[in-house]
Amino acid sequence: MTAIQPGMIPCPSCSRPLALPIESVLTGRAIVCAGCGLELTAQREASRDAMDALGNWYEETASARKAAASAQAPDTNPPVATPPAPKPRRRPRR
Amino acid sequence: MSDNASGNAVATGNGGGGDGGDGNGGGTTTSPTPRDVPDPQESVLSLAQLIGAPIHALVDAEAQSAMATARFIRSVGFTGNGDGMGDLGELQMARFKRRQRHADGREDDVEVQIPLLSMLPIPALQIKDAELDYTVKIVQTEALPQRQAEVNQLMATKDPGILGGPTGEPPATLRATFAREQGSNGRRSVDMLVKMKLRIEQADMPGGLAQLLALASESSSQDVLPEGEEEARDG
Ligand SMILES: [Zn+2]
Repeated sequence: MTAIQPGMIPCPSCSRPLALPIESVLTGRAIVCAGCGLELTAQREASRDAMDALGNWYEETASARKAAASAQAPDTNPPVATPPAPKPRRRPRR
Repeated sequence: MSDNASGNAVATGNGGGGDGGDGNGGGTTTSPTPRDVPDPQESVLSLAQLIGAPIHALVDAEAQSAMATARFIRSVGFTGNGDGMGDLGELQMARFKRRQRHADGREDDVEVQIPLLSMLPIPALQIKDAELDYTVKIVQTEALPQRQAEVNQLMATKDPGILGGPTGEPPATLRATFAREQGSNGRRSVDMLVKMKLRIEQADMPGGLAQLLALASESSSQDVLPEGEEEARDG
């Protein structure tokens, strides 16, 4: 079985690309192949170490994923020039 | 950096800044006048060091990025201790269950093992473009003593074309400092001028990593689960 791209595997039954959403893997929700209807369910207890590692990765990258998603989201509003962040005032040097 | 990185270092003389300093950049070399002597806080370095420092920082940054990728692969992809350089352990596999339906209507559960590494995007960042813009102020020139003998020898060949120009001047070390930026009001800002523009991208999969992933994917396996060993579906 050869990985197609990260998060995608060939369906074990029909070999079509099957996405493995991390959320589904972590929650044990069934992942259904659109090609053949195969249901794949994570065995969370049997692969506890892997689930722990996956869960840690998921938590640690949550903010990065959020930022990436918002950066890719299409702009609904026209771009507005954001004012620069206020600089801390400095005392004039003598 | 990627093969097509276009590190673009521009060193410009700034003409001595905005406080009336005489123009001593742009290749003109004059001995420093008291006004040109830099502030004690300013670091005067050889021009090579000055130009090299930000480039060195870029190389360091890429090395750190590569180490982060390696740590990720260790900690997520393998069962061994994620820290340090010890044993990698086994590939970390996630187990799945799928129901297999036979032609005769019989069903059984099959366990599918998939390596975590093939489920996650592996972070591998690289600097695609780096554009460095320096404004330096040459504050001092000095002949390189260690090369003086060499120079003298070459001068003796009476081939002035070889060396720095028609006068046959010996090569020099340029001592320079990052120039202060000229403010809009004509006054000099306290900021030193090193402008850096970077473009970072997810690196193409390095050959070794691709091979590792291919190996990892090949270790995906399917086994029919014995009766009664099915895990109750949780959630
Ligand atoms: Zn399928």
